Amino acid sequence: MVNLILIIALPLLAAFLIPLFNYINKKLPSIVVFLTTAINLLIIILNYNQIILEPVIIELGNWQAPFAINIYVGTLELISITVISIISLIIAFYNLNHSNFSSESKFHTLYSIIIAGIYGIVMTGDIFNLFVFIEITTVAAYGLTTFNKDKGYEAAIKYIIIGSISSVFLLMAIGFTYSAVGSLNMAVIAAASNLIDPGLVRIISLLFFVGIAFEAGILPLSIWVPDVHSIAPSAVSSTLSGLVFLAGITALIKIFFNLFADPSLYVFLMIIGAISLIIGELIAYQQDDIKRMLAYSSIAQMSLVLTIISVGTKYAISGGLFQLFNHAILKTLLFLTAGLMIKYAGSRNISDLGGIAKRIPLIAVGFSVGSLGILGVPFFNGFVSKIMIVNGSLNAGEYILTFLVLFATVIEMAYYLKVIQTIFFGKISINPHKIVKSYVPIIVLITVVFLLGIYPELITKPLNQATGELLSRSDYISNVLGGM
Amino acid sequence: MIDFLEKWSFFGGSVLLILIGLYGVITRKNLIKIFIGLSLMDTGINVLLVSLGYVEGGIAPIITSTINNNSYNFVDPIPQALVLTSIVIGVAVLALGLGVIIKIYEKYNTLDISEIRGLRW
Repeated sequence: MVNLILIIALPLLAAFLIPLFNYINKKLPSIVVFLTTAINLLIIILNYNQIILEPVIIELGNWQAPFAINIYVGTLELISITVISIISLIIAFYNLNHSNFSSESKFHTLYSIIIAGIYGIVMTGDIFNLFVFIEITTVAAYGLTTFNKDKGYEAAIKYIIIGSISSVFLLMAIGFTYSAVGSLNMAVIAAASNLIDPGLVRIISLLFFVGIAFEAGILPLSIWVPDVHSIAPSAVSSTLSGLVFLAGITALIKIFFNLFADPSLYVFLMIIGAISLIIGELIAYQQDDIKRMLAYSSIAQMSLVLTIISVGTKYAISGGLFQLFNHAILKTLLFLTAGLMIKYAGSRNISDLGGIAKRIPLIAVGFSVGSLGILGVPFFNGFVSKIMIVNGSLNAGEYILTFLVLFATVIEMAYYLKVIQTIFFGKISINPHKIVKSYVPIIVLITVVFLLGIYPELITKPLNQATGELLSRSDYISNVLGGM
Repeated sequence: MIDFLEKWSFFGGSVLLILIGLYGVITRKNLIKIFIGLSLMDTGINVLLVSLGYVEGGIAPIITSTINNNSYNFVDPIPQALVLTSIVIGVAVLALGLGVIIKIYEKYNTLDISEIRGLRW
């Protein structure tokens, strides 16, 4: 077995060596990033069979559990890091040909750092370490946003202001947790959470929600999302939308299921999520800018995941998690293809993309596959997760929620099909710009979409196991702390 | 009254600092003033974290040849370690933000957010 800490350490090492590589050869940084992401995928594959049998806990510095910062990789974390490594590899491959930024090596440095931060958020077992990794991710994301010279600075300022306010609330939550429990280890906090005053637990979890929901794209705190996602380069938008949101939601799930499993909080999450879902879909419907539309759709999808997970039954949780991973794959596909279409047409407006499918058919098909996947058409991966979500909410007796999910899907259908209709059957009115057509990432992503649509067992089996682990907190505690 | 102040001034003062900072961020129009507000919030949260680890009459948690058993009253070192980390992160974010502000000033020749297209919200 290879030590899993390497998948955080390698991208960080690569990030700080990239200026040196850039000095040797201008082409080298992108290749180095590609290689590190490939090695990460390899490490995870080598460890896969062992982690699926029992969670792996790595204690840093050889200290015992409550004193050391530990890395906890259970089944949920395993699926997350597998999806993250696959997607980051695909985006790194895309960057090989598309790094047309004036200061390339800085871009690749920041991309490496953001990948390391995302792995860290998912795997860490210590709440202060969680804060540090969230800050690593967001600071790298602030930098990546500014790479678009056009409007990147305005979006970045917005992002920095909201991010700093949220991080203050996150720190406050961590401080209160520490003063109540006397430890920063997640397992110790989970073990002690029944002894804390329930009112304090509610305040702390609310503060955690404010601190992390900004990263996870839940609406009241994510007003930065449309600006940043639409303005950043498309490789960055897909990283932010696919991977950072995934990490944020995973962190929220850990806080609300492993740390403080208070059922009265789930109602709150459900209401916030449902409101955010409907508002996100309605705003997405009104957008004419294709990337803004995708960004609002991301907000809606994340809210859907949060809502359905907060139902709290086993079936609903695995449906929500499945949707989370589907969304990561589909939004990467959508943002990459949308970025290429925007570059080809030289415009962000949907109405200017008419008939683009006749000129660059494969890219348009990629976009349609992504859209149909999000809508949940049969044989696409979104179908299975949508079925699980609807089933899960019906079985739990949340009929209003089922109605809202279906209503949201109808709105979604309206705006995605509008785009598909425009790009396939609209009047051709583009003067084409030269683009580098990179088909490999698109084909790989389309393959993954159909693979998961036709053989959902690939992911549903580990997902059921992950849900089981999430719902049995005592196992988590005893895994980390041993017999204590 | 003095007892009350002694007990709550760290806590109340730091929360007050955070609230003043938040007020500044929300109401000010000048980007630099917004960042001063953010900085105040950071300071407030750092004071709050330190005050959580405060022990009445405690000494620095360093073991020396004379201070080497548990009978001494140590302050809690972990919040101080947290604050060091959070100060570093705060400075990094502040520096990055000011750098971006310079770029915005070069582009628009103003720092007033109500005059910058794309910053009105």
